[in-house]
Amino acid sequence: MPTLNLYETTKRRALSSRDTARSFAPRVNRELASGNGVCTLTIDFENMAVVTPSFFDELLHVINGRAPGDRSSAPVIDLTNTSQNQFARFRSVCKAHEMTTEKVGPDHWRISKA
Amino acid sequence: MATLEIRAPRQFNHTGDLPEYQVRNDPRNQDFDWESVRIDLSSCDFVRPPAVLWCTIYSLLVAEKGIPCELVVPSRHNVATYLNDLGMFAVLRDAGVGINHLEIPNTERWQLVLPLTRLRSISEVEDLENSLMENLERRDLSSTNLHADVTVVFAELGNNAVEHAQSPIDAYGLVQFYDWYPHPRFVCAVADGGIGIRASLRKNPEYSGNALTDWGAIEYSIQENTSGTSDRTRGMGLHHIANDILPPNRELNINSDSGFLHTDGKTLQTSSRRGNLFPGTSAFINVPA
Repeated sequence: MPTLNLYETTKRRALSSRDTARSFAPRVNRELASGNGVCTLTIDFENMAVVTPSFFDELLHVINGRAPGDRSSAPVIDLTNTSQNQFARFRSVCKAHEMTTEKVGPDHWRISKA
Repeated sequence: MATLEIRAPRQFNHTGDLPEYQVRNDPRNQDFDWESVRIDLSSCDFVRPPAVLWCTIYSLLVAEKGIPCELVVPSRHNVATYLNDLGMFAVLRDAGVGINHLEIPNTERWQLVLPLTRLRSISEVEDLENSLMENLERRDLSSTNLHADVTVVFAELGNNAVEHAQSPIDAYGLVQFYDWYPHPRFVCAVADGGIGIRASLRKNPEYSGNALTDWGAIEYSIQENTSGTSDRTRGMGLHHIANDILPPNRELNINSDSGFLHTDGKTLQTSSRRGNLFPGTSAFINVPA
C-alpha cells in the first residue's frame, strides 16, 4: 500500500510550510506509481505533534495536482494516527478541496474527491 | 523637522494606548522626515507583548531609514529587566537603536518559551516551531493539546508574516507563559513592518475593486478562504486560529495599519474598528493554560 510517513520522511514533529509540502512531490509520485493501479495513498501521522492547515492544503495540492482536472485519477487518501484534535484542523481544507471526509477507525480518516 | 517624541503611558498594552497624534507618523512613508525619534518608556509600570512588538517594529523601521532612534527604558527595574530578558534591547541595539541604560543582567525570572526572535524565512519559522514544540513539551507547562495549539498559532502567524508582509525589517515573534494564579496563560505574538493586510488582500483581483478599510480587511482576513492569492483553497491560517483554536476563553487581537480587530473567545464576538496606526501588522493571541 503506498504510504507516506511524515515523521520518517522529515524527522520533524511540526510541519507548517508550503515549501516543505511541495518537497513531498517526488515521494508522492513514487509511492503512487508503486501502487500498481491501487489508487489509495496512506498518510501516516505517527509521532507528528503539529501539522498546520497550510501544510495540509499544499500537500493535497501535491497529491491531487498530479492529474489536473481528472477527478477519476485523484487518489483516496487515508490519514492514519490522526487524532480528533489534529483532524479538526483539516476539515475546512478538505471542504475547500471539495473532498468528503469519513472516520473509518480510531485515529483513522478517509478523504476523497466528492 | 525636529525630534518625534512618543511617550508611553504607565500601562502600555498596545499601540491604542499611545497618543494618536504621535503614532500617526508612519515610518514606512517616504515623507517621514523627522530628524530623530525618541520612544520614552520611562513611566511604564508594565509593557505587554503587543506593546513590545510595536516598540520593536516602529524603532526598527525608523533605524532602517537611517534616522537616529532612541529608546528610553522603563524606570521601574523589573519592567526593564523583563524587556531585557525578552531580548528587545538586544534586537534594537543590534539595529543601531540607542538604548539609554546601563547593563541589565539577564534574570531568567520570566517564563519565556520563545524570546523576541527575528523571522526571516519560511524555513526559519519551521525550525523555530519545532524548537518551540520541544521546549513546551520539555517544560511541561500545560496539556499536550495546548502545546499543539500554541505551536500552530505561532506557525501560521509567522508564515503569514514572512510570506505576505513584504516587511523591510522582516518579522518578529515571541511566546511567553504567564504563571498567574488562578489563570495561567500563554501569549503568542507576531508582528512585521510590512504592507498591511489591506494592501496584501488587494493583490487578489477579487478584493482589488473593493473600497476596503483597514479594519474591514482584517475582518475579511479571518474568513474562510480569504487570501491575497487567487488560490481558492488558501486563506485557512487566520480563519483556523479565529474560529477553531480561539474558543473557549481565548483572545485574539489583530492590528494592521489603522485597523484593529478584537475577538473574544468567551462570547465569540468579533469587533473591528479604526484604531491607532500600527506600521505593518501585529497579531496577538492569549490562551489560558
